[in-house]
Amino acid sequence: MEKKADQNRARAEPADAGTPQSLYVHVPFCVRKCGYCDFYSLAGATQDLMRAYVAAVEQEGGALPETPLRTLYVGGGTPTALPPPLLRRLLDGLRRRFTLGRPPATPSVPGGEAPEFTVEANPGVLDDALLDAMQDAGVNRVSLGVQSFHPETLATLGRIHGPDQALRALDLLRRRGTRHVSLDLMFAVPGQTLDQWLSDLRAAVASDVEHMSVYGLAIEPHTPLGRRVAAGDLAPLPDEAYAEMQMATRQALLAAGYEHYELSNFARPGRRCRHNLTYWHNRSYFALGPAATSYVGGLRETRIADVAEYVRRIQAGSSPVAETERLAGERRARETAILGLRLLEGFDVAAFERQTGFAPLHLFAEPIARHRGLGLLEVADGHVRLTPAALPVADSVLADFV
Amino acid sequence: MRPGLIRNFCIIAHIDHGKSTLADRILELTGAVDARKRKDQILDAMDLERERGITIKASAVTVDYEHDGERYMLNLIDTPGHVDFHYEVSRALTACEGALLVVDASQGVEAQTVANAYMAMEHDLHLVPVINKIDLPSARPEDVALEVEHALALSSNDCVFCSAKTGEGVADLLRAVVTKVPPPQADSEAPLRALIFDAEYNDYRGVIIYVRVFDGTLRKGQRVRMMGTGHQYEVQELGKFRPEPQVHAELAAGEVGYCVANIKTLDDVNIGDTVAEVARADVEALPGYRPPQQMVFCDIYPTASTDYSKLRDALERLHLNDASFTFRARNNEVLGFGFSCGFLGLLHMDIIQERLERESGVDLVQTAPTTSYEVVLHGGQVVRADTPSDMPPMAEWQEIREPLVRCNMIIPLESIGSVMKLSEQRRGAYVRQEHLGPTRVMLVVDFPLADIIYDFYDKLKSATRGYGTMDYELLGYRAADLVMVDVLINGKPAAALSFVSHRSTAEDRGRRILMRLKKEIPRHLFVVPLQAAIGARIIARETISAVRKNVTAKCYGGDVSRKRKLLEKQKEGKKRMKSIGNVDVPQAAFLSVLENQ
Ligand SMILES: Nc1nc2c(ncn2[C@@H]2O[C@H](COP(=O)(O)OP(=O)(O)O)[C@@H](O)[C@H]2O)c(=O)[nH]1
Ligand code: SF4
Repeated sequence: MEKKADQNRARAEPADAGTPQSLYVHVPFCVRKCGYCDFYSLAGATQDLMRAYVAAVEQEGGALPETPLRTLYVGGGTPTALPPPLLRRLLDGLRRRFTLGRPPATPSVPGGEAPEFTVEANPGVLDDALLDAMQDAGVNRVSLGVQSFHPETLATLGRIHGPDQALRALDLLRRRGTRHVSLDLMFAVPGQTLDQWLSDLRAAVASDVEHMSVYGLAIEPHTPLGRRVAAGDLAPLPDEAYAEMQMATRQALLAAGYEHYELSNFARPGRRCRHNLTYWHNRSYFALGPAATSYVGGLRETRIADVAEYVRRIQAGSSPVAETERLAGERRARETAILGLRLLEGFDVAAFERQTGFAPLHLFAEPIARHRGLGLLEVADGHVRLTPAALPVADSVLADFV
Repeated sequence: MRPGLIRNFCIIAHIDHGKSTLADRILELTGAVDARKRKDQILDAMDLERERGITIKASAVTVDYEHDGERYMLNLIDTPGHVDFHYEVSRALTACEGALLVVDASQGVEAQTVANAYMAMEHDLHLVPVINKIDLPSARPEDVALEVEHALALSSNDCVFCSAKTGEGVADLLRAVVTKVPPPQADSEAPLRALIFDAEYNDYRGVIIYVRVFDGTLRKGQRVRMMGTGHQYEVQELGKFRPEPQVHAELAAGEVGYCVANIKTLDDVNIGDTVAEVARADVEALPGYRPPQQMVFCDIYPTASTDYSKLRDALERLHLNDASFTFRARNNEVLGFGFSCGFLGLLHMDIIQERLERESGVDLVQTAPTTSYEVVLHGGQVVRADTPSDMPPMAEWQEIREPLVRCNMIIPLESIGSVMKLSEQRRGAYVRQEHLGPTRVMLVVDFPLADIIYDFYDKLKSATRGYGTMDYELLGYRAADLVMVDVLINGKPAAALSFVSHRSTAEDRGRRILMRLKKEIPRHLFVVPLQAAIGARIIARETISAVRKNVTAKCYGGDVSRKRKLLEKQKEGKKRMKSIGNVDVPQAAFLSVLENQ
């Protein structure tokens, strides 16, 4: 019995059994909760809790194998909500632990072999002290949560910053010579017009960043924004407007020289986010911190979404994991497909089979045929991918692969 | 007993006018039942009947009654109360010479009062009008007696006034039975002829038949033959219900009783058949037999497909007790395995459905009722189609006929306008109207059965603020301008949704169905046309526009599982749907069409 299960597992996980080369660290603090947010983060935490959190992350990280990483991503929450000394301590610790003491690539070294080290920053709280901490730790990529350059849109979203702060933050980063800056932008916000959105896009292009993550707002029912919509105070944009803005985004950013490489992500050539590609390739990664999910050896583990409890468990030497998931062979292959199809280049047929043990053209023969017939999918140069027409309705296509 | 001392009679009444209560009172007064230990309403055996106030199975009770120093034998024959059992009622009436027509003194004449009275008259029964419930404060016996006179041409002077509740007037009633109802014309020496007017199935005894002996004598041990089926039996037991069964060696001409003869199932017995002696079987059968005719059809499916065999067992059990409904297995492309059932009428259908659910414990999906049709093919051959799927293709029709019914509605005078309007909407043809008094009127309208089968009674009730009553009888099949309407989803016919409609309403009904489908079918990645068509001609269309947006903007490491699960849910939902022309149609969409008309 046992033996048989083991054999299945061996077949289910042919590749990627090696050590992860990516790490995600979740910083669960924010200055104030935004109205649409459904990430785990605490607003107004005490410095004591923050300190205990950083110590706990260091301790949890200490248990990971000492392995060189290719990507490291510190997100949140709001990492820049930590006081500068604490952020410094966190980042330095990560650098020391995971680059084997080597100084990481300096900002002047482009992408290439050097590890990609990203920190998310909130324009409302970004100053020289925080930037110093990042710079000293070797952070070479900053993801700035701008969302919009329009005061009304920012207000509807409940962000803590205004347009001026966004521009100031961009300016700060540029003056420091941060070579790899990413902007988050958001469309389909209640009240937003197509014109406003186009001007947001123009402002983003003018800032000349290397990368943009452009999200259509998803209104989650249990958020303050969701409740306002449910109560009828706010009208969500109709699907037609969403699709129109999505297509306008693609057009504008392609015209400005960005590559559209994932449903919501655009980059200058060579500047794709290598960390996030790990997710879409369904490769393994470590994770640290409350609510963070790791994926090691086919096991997906999500840590408890409660800072105090996380700290307590780490201090007590018990597992911070609250939820685990391990998918069997075919389901894992299907998951790999739906993630891979998020990439505009799609998934590589041969690589997919090597990674999952399943021949995609066989496993997905039926949905591939159907959606090719509808002009929503193409199979070309060894890849299966969505066509641009499929982008606004990607989930309807993906649902047939899962 | 001398035929002159026998009286065979029944009680006919609109529901709730007091038939069962009056029967109890009669049994008490004649000493058949001890008043102190009486069970209420002895003749109504089944719970369900009691609940609904309907007598489903007829039975006969014999009581003794002294009058002017003579001892009379009164046979009270119970009749089913509703028009769906028209044929059974008519067989029970055949067994009688007279009928008590019971009318509620406060409600007055109702539709079934009229229908039942007419039927009794057709059978040449002597009618004794009885105004019951005179104890009620709201009773208006004199008015109601006049209504009887107006509606039925029975003299108000002949009315007997009573209260089945207090017993007042019941003795007068029994006197009227003896003095007004004629005795049977009977010849005990003639060759045996007995009418089977009812039958029921008993787990221990097999089938028990109820007979009225017209000529000759039925004896224990006699070899008899049923003239319609040709089956032969030996009479094992004869008797009368008083109301407890009492065994008799023989039943003479003019008498009524039960007979057990090792008959296995109700299917072996035809109500209305004639029992003759094998040795003297050259007699002429008693007139009037015809097989029960199912007029109303619907499909029944178990909600959970695993309940199929449970449902079949339950249907078989019910069929043992009621051979007048039919069922046959059916495999619907959407709803799965179930049964196509035929019923005598709407009420019959309700009763069976209710019993099925109650006795089988199976959750049921039932389609909206339809009627049967007769199609004359080009070759002249006539086929009967009980459901749209039995229909020959329209190209082969030369003529199609639908059942036509005559409907009596008794309504308050002030609602006549709205009832006439309702009747017009249902293709009714006005026949006549009669004023029953200053405030009530009887309206007679002929309808295609298909048009009143669904929600007509509810509509009539609301048009008359609850006061209207109706009853109908089948006139026959009549040629009509009917068409077969197909429903196409993305160009492909959905066979389960085809329906027969009058040409004039086809477009309307087609459009209504398309609207329902449009509401229930989710958007697809492509535009989905919905069409209703008569042959190749499209009579209605709707379009379900394509999905405009269905995309998850963000999907990073932490939310892969959740997003995948959402997609799995979408896929699961699709799997449960039926694919027609590449369109995923949820079961709810079919039901929204099939359960309504
Ligand atoms: N007040 C009064 N109520 C009666 C009388 N006869 C019957 N009922 C009631 O009327 C209702 C219907 O009677 P039932 O005998 O079941 O009617 P059926 O449907 O014709 O058999 C019951 O609630 C009886 O108790 C009567 O003479 N007076
Ligand atoms: S800053 Fe980000 S994590 Fe914090 S509340 Fe706003 S959206 Fe949520």
